[in-house]
Amino acid sequence: MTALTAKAGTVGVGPLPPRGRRRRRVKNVGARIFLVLLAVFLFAPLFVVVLFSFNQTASLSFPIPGLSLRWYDKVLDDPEVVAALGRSAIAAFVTGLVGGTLGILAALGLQGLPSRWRGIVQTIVLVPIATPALLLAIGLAIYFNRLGIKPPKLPMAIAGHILLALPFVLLTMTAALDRFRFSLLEAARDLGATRARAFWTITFPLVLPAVLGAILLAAAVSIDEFIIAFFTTGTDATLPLVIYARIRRVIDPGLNALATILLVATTLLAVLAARTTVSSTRR
Amino acid sequence: MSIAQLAPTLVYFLVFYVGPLAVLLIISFLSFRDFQFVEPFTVDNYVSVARSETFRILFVRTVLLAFLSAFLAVVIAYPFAHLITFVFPRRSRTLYFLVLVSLFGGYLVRIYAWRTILGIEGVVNGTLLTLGWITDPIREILNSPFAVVVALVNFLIPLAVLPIYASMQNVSPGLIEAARDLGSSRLDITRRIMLPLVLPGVRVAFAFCFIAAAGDFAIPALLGGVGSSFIANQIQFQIGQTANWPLAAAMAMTLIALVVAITAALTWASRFLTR
Repeated sequence: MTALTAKAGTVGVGPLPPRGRRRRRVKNVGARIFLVLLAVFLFAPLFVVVLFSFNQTASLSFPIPGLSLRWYDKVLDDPEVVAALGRSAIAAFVTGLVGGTLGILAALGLQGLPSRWRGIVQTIVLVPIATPALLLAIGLAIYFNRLGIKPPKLPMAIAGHILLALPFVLLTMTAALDRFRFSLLEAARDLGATRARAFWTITFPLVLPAVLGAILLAAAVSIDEFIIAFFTTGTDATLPLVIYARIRRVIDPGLNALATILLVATTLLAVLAARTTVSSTRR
Repeated sequence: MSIAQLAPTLVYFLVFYVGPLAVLLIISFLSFRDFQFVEPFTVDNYVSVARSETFRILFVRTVLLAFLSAFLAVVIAYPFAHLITFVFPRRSRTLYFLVLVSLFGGYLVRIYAWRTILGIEGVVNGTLLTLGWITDPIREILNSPFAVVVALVNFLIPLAVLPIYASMQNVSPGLIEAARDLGSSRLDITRRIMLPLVLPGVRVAFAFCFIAAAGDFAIPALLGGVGSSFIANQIQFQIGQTANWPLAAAMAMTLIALVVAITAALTWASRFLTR
């Protein structure tokens, strides 16, 4: 597209000739089909779960006879599910708070380092992304066991979630701080603002969206996390663990409702996180 | 000042990342007797990992299926990243946003969904039965390597898109334009401009996907059936059923060594693509 417009511009034709336009449209049909197929592949599974969670009957075949909320009633009356929801919420909250604080501090610290050291430290902190979660999971499990902390409980899973969330927090925050113009701060100081005033009126509002985005992202990582929780929490099941335990049983339509609740929670956090960070890049 | 700000995170890493992995490494060299890990240090665990026919089959299957899934994910993610960067640049924000969201949305929900879709009483079979196209449900869809690869690719695509998309932002359309004006062929442009700039992103994408797939546990456990379990499932079995942590640790270390070696070999080999 860019190529065609640029060429048209150089010869001074102005708007594209109809022939070129038609050819371009034909060209992009394949691309559009690819995008649609990919979207179907990525989102159809989730759509199926959400759809069947509102099914009137227990059958899992199309077409569905009617809509109802009975599976949500059933699932939310289940004390095991309610307890797991509570634990997932706690884990997400603590991961967001601690992971967010650690990551934001580290991102600020990175800005002050000489560039050589900055690269090294940044690589260290990003390493968990490239570590198989399985390795971290059994590593953490045996570690706590060796330290004499047993039986395994929720805080151990949270410790792992923070580790997984940190790279994402750091990436988001570093990107935001790289865009931040420190000359603004210098200008404010030159004009007589105190250090604190410069921070609260300039740095804080400019960086706030990225901070919120990073915290929400950390919470999303925690809510969706399965493997570390599986190896470390023991009886303190989070929502993904309850789903895992119930998947193998006979088909239970309540699971669709449960999965939808988990899906809505993670997607909502991820959407909010992406939106807040994107809005900060637009500025 | 900056050291003080970095210190909490670095300490956290030391305690919760380096510590656990070091313990895992040490334990893999301990002996297992009467459900206790005891000295002396030995390489017996690694020897039994290497000698066992069962384990070897699991390692080969894990590496092959993870490799295939990572390859497919990259092959699908590359044109997607290309399209949203160069063909539909105005929609790129929206499309990228959708992919980003699906990266953080519903790992286990997706697995459950594939069971719902592919199972004996699942959507595909149920719908085909209702339509009268088949009389007996097809049993072979779920609990097969096919189901594992489908679910893995589905979960890996967003992970592959991110680094490839990021590296494509380095390619300025003007550069391609200039090369074309100077008479370069499409192949030349791909080989001499696109590949050198995008290849680092592709490498990272493949490495991410391969590592994530090779260590996956829930997908083979819930979609794979007996014939397609991964080494991770055997590790979980050793921990859960026999509490043989040293052997499990040795398997995990062997897996990471294999994955790192294969990724390094590929990275080295891919250098020749741009020569």
